[in-house]
Amino acid sequence: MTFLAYRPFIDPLGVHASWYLLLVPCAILVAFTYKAVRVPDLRRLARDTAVMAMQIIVGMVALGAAAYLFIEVVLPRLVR
Amino acid sequence: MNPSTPDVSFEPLALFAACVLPGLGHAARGERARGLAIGVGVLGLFAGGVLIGGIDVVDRREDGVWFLGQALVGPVAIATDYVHQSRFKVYDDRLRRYRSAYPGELRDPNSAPEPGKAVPSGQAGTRTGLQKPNVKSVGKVNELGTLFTALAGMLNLIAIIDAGFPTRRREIASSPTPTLKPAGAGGGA
Repeated sequence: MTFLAYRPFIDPLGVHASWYLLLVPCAILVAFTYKAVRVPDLRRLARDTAVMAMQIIVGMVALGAAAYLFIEVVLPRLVR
Repeated sequence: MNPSTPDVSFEPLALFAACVLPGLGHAARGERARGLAIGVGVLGLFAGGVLIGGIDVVDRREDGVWFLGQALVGPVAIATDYVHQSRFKVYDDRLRRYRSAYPGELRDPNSAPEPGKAVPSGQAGTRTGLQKPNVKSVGKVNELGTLFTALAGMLNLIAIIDAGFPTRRREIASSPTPTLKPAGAGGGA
Protein backbone atom coordinates (compact mmCIF):
# COMPACT_ATOMS: atom_id res chain seq x y z
CA MET A 1 0.00 0.00 0.00
CA THR A 2 1.35 3.42 -0.92
CA PHE A 3 0.72 5.85 1.92
CA LEU A 4 1.85 9.01 0.14
CA ALA A 5 -0.24 8.63 -3.04
CA TYR A 6 -2.37 11.69 -3.70
CA ARG A 7 -6.02 10.95 -4.50
CA PRO A 8 -7.86 13.83 -6.22
CA PHE A 9 -11.08 14.95 -4.47
CA ILE A 10 -10.18 12.76 -1.45
CA ASP A 11 -6.94 14.29 -0.21
CA PRO A 12 -6.23 18.06 -0.11
CA LEU A 13 -4.02 19.77 -2.67
CA GLY A 14 -0.58 20.86 -1.49
CA VAL A 15 -1.01 24.52 -2.35
CA HIS A 16 -0.26 26.03 1.06
CA ALA A 17 2.44 28.33 -0.33
CA SER A 18 0.34 29.75 -3.16
CA TRP A 19 -3.15 29.70 -1.66
CA TYR A 20 -3.80 33.32 -2.60
CA LEU A 21 -3.70 32.44 -6.31
CA LEU A 22 -6.93 30.48 -5.78
CA LEU A 23 -8.69 33.84 -5.43
CA VAL A 24 -8.63 34.10 -9.24
CA PRO A 25 -10.60 30.92 -10.09
CA CYS A 26 -12.88 31.60 -7.13
CA ALA A 27 -13.71 35.10 -8.41
CA ILE A 28 -14.19 33.86 -11.97
CA LEU A 29 -16.53 31.03 -10.95
CA VAL A 30 -18.56 33.23 -8.58
CA ALA A 31 -18.91 35.91 -11.26
CA PHE A 32 -19.77 33.36 -13.95
CA THR A 33 -22.49 31.72 -11.83
CA TYR A 34 -23.99 34.98 -10.62
CA LYS A 35 -24.03 36.50 -14.08
CA ALA A 36 -25.48 33.29 -15.55
CA VAL A 37 -28.52 33.97 -13.38
CA ARG A 38 -28.68 37.72 -13.83
CA VAL A 39 -27.75 38.68 -17.40
CA PRO A 40 -30.78 39.22 -19.65
CA ASP A 41 -28.87 38.09 -22.73
CA LEU A 42 -26.41 35.21 -22.38
CA ARG A 43 -24.33 36.58 -25.25
CA ARG A 44 -23.07 39.12 -22.71
CA LEU A 45 -22.15 36.43 -20.17
CA ALA A 46 -18.41 36.32 -20.95
CA ARG A 47 -17.97 40.08 -20.88
CA ASP A 48 -20.01 40.59 -17.72
CA THR A 49 -18.20 37.70 -16.03
CA ALA A 50 -14.81 39.23 -16.85
CA VAL A 51 -15.88 42.65 -15.54
CA MET A 52 -17.32 41.25 -12.28
CA ALA A 53 -14.33 38.94 -11.72
CA MET A 54 -11.97 41.90 -12.10
CA GLN A 55 -14.10 43.93 -9.68
CA ILE A 56 -13.91 41.13 -7.09
CA ILE A 57 -10.14 40.66 -7.50
CA VAL A 58 -9.36 44.39 -7.41
CA GLY A 59 -11.69 44.83 -4.42
CA MET A 60 -10.08 41.98 -2.48
CA VAL A 61 -6.56 43.23 -3.25
CA ALA A 62 -7.58 46.76 -2.19
CA LEU A 63 -9.10 45.46 1.05
CA GLY A 64 -5.94 43.45 1.73
CA ALA A 65 -3.74 46.47 1.07
CA ALA A 66 -5.93 48.67 3.27
CA ALA A 67 -5.82 46.13 6.10
CA TYR A 68 -2.03 45.83 5.74
CA LEU A 69 -1.54 49.61 5.87
CA PHE A 70 -3.88 49.96 8.86
CA ILE A 71 -2.17 47.21 10.86
CA GLU A 72 1.44 47.90 9.87
CA VAL A 73 1.43 51.70 9.54
CA VAL A 74 -1.56 53.35 11.19
CA LEU A 75 -1.93 51.23 14.33
CA PRO A 76 1.76 51.44 15.36
CA ARG A 77 1.53 55.25 15.17
CA LEU A 78 -1.67 55.32 17.21
CA VAL A 79 -0.33 53.15 20.02
CA ARG A 80 3.15 54.77 20.12
CA MET B 1 -44.23 47.46 -18.40
CA ASN B 2 -47.50 45.68 -18.93
CA PRO B 3 -49.48 46.24 -15.73
CA SER B 4 -51.44 43.03 -16.28
CA THR B 5 -48.28 40.91 -15.99
CA PRO B 6 -47.65 39.74 -12.42
CA ASP B 7 -44.45 41.00 -10.84
CA VAL B 8 -43.41 37.57 -9.63
CA SER B 9 -44.65 34.25 -10.95
CA PHE B 10 -44.31 30.87 -9.26
CA GLU B 11 -43.13 27.77 -11.08
CA PRO B 12 -43.14 24.80 -8.66
CA LEU B 13 -41.75 22.29 -11.18
CA ALA B 14 -38.76 24.53 -11.93
CA LEU B 15 -38.29 25.14 -8.19
CA PHE B 16 -38.21 21.39 -7.50
CA ALA B 17 -35.89 20.70 -10.44
CA ALA B 18 -33.51 23.45 -9.29
CA CYS B 19 -33.34 21.84 -5.84
CA VAL B 20 -32.47 18.46 -7.38
CA LEU B 21 -29.58 19.59 -9.59
CA PRO B 22 -28.02 23.04 -10.07
CA GLY B 23 -29.29 24.59 -13.30
CA LEU B 24 -32.01 21.99 -13.87
CA GLY B 25 -34.73 24.44 -12.84
CA HIS B 26 -33.86 26.90 -15.59
CA ALA B 27 -33.51 24.04 -18.07
CA ALA B 28 -36.99 22.81 -17.09
CA ARG B 29 -38.29 26.31 -17.77
CA GLY B 30 -36.87 26.20 -21.27
CA GLU B 31 -33.70 28.19 -20.60
CA ARG B 32 -31.28 25.37 -21.38
CA ALA B 33 -28.19 27.47 -22.00
CA ARG B 34 -28.72 29.45 -18.80
CA GLY B 35 -29.32 26.22 -16.87
CA LEU B 36 -26.16 24.71 -18.29
CA ALA B 37 -24.13 27.79 -17.34
CA ILE B 38 -25.53 27.75 -13.80
CA GLY B 39 -24.83 24.03 -13.47
CA VAL B 40 -21.26 24.42 -14.69
CA GLY B 41 -20.68 27.37 -12.33
CA VAL B 42 -22.19 25.86 -9.18
CA LEU B 43 -20.83 22.36 -9.68
CA GLY B 44 -17.48 23.80 -10.79
CA LEU B 45 -17.22 25.76 -7.54
CA PHE B 46 -18.28 22.75 -5.48
CA ALA B 47 -15.93 20.34 -7.26
CA GLY B 48 -13.16 22.93 -7.09
CA GLY B 49 -13.59 23.20 -3.33
CA VAL B 50 -13.48 19.44 -2.87
CA LEU B 51 -10.45 19.25 -5.18
CA ILE B 52 -8.60 21.93 -3.17
CA GLY B 53 -9.48 20.80 0.36
CA GLY B 54 -10.29 17.16 -0.23
CA ILE B 55 -13.50 15.45 0.83
CA ASP B 56 -12.79 16.64 4.38
CA VAL B 57 -14.28 20.08 3.59
CA VAL B 58 -17.80 18.61 3.38
CA ASP B 59 -18.50 17.38 6.90
CA ARG B 60 -21.89 17.87 8.55
CA ARG B 61 -20.65 16.49 11.87
CA GLU B 62 -17.47 18.53 12.34
CA ASP B 63 -18.34 21.64 10.27
CA GLY B 64 -22.09 21.77 10.72
CA VAL B 65 -22.51 25.51 10.16
CA TRP B 66 -20.57 25.43 6.89
CA PHE B 67 -22.55 22.39 5.81
CA LEU B 68 -25.73 24.47 6.02
CA GLY B 69 -24.36 26.53 3.13
CA GLN B 70 -22.88 23.56 1.28
CA ALA B 71 -26.15 21.61 1.48
CA LEU B 72 -27.79 24.27 -0.68
CA VAL B 73 -25.98 22.69 -3.64
CA GLY B 74 -28.51 19.87 -3.21
CA PRO B 75 -28.23 16.08 -3.30
CA VAL B 76 -24.69 16.32 -4.66
CA ALA B 77 -23.46 17.87 -1.39
CA ILE B 78 -25.50 15.49 0.75
CA ALA B 79 -24.13 12.50 -1.20
CA THR B 80 -20.58 13.83 -0.82
CA ASP B 81 -21.07 14.13 2.94
CA TYR B 82 -22.56 10.62 3.08
CA VAL B 83 -19.53 9.17 1.29
CA HIS B 84 -17.23 11.09 3.63
CA GLN B 85 -19.02 9.88 6.78
CA SER B 86 -19.48 6.27 5.69
CA ARG B 87 -16.35 5.51 3.64
CA PHE B 88 -13.56 7.62 5.08
CA LYS B 89 -14.21 8.36 8.76
CA VAL B 90 -12.92 5.94 11.35
CA TYR B 91 -14.72 4.64 14.44
CA ASP B 92 -12.96 5.46 17.69
CA ASP B 93 -13.63 2.86 20.41
CA ARG B 94 -12.55 5.25 23.14
CA LEU B 95 -14.75 8.17 22.02
CA ARG B 96 -17.51 5.80 20.83
CA ARG B 97 -18.10 7.84 17.71
CA TYR B 98 -16.79 8.37 14.19
CA ARG B 99 -14.06 10.92 13.65
CA SER B 100 -11.49 11.97 11.05
CA ALA B 101 -8.50 9.65 11.01
CA TYR B 102 -5.24 10.73 12.58
CA PRO B 103 -2.08 10.65 10.45
CA GLY B 104 -0.85 7.08 10.12
CA GLU B 105 -4.17 5.47 10.98
CA LEU B 106 -5.90 2.97 8.75
CA ARG B 107 -9.55 2.01 8.52
CA ASP B 108 -10.98 -1.49 8.90
CA PRO B 109 -14.20 -1.63 6.84
CA ASN B 110 -15.02 -5.14 8.12
CA SER B 111 -14.84 -4.41 11.84
CA ALA B 112 -17.86 -5.22 14.01
CA PRO B 113 -20.15 -4.03 15.44
CA GLU B 114 -19.12 -0.61 14.06
CA PRO B 115 -17.56 -0.74 10.61
CA GLY B 116 -14.55 1.44 9.91
CA LYS B 117 -12.68 0.97 13.17
CA ALA B 118 -9.45 2.95 13.46
CA VAL B 119 -6.31 0.83 13.26
CA PRO B 120 -2.93 2.45 13.97
CA SER B 121 -0.58 1.58 11.12
CA GLY B 122 1.86 0.09 13.64
CA GLN B 123 -0.77 -2.49 14.62
CA ALA B 124 -1.83 -3.30 11.07
CA GLY B 125 0.67 -6.14 10.79
CA THR B 126 -0.38 -8.59 8.11
CA ARG B 127 -4.09 -7.72 8.25
CA THR B 128 -5.59 -7.38 4.83
CA GLY B 129 -8.49 -5.28 3.61
CA LEU B 130 -7.52 -2.17 5.55
CA GLN B 131 -8.32 1.08 3.79
CA LYS B 132 -6.46 4.35 3.74
CA PRO B 133 -8.72 7.12 5.10
CA ASN B 134 -8.69 10.60 3.62
CA VAL B 135 -6.02 13.09 4.62
CA LYS B 136 -7.53 15.81 6.80
CA SER B 137 -6.99 19.23 5.28
CA VAL B 138 -5.72 22.05 7.46
CA GLY B 139 -4.97 25.76 7.28
CA LYS B 140 -5.66 27.89 4.23
CA VAL B 141 -6.29 24.88 1.99
CA ASN B 142 -9.13 23.76 4.26
CA GLU B 143 -10.49 27.29 4.55
CA LEU B 144 -10.48 27.83 0.78
CA GLY B 145 -12.00 24.46 0.02
CA THR B 146 -14.75 25.12 2.54
CA LEU B 147 -15.27 28.63 1.13
CA PHE B 148 -15.56 27.36 -2.46
CA THR B 149 -18.16 24.75 -1.52
CA ALA B 150 -20.19 27.08 0.68
CA LEU B 151 -20.17 29.77 -2.03
CA ALA B 152 -21.45 27.16 -4.47
CA GLY B 153 -24.40 26.49 -2.17
CA MET B 154 -25.24 30.16 -1.66
CA LEU B 155 -25.06 30.89 -5.40
CA ASN B 156 -27.29 27.89 -6.04
CA LEU B 157 -29.82 29.37 -3.61
CA ILE B 158 -29.97 32.45 -5.85
CA ALA B 159 -30.46 30.16 -8.86
CA ILE B 160 -33.18 28.16 -7.06
CA ILE B 161 -35.10 31.32 -6.18
CA ASP B 162 -34.69 32.64 -9.72
CA ALA B 163 -35.94 29.35 -11.17
CA GLY B 164 -38.96 29.02 -8.90
CA PHE B 165 -39.91 32.67 -8.71
CA PRO B 166 -38.83 34.18 -12.03
CA THR B 167 -37.91 37.77 -11.47
CA ARG B 168 -38.04 40.44 -14.09
CA ARG B 169 -34.65 40.86 -15.67
CA ARG B 170 -33.96 44.31 -17.04
CA GLU B 171 -34.22 44.06 -20.76
CA ILE B 172 -31.43 45.81 -22.59
CA ALA B 173 -33.57 47.03 -25.38
CA SER B 174 -32.71 49.42 -28.09
CA SER B 175 -35.38 51.72 -26.76
CA PRO B 176 -34.07 54.57 -24.57
CA THR B 177 -36.27 53.47 -21.67
CA PRO B 178 -35.34 50.01 -20.34
CA THR B 179 -38.30 47.72 -19.96
CA LEU B 180 -38.82 44.78 -17.66
CA LYS B 181 -40.00 41.36 -18.69
CA PRO B 182 -40.45 37.98 -17.03
CA ALA B 183 -37.28 35.90 -17.20
CA GLY B 184 -39.07 32.84 -18.49
CA ALA B 185 -40.69 34.65 -21.35
CA GLY B 186 -37.49 35.33 -23.22
CA GLY B 187 -36.15 31.78 -23.13
CA GLY B 188 -32.49 30.83 -23.06
CA ALA B 189 -29.83 31.77 -25.51
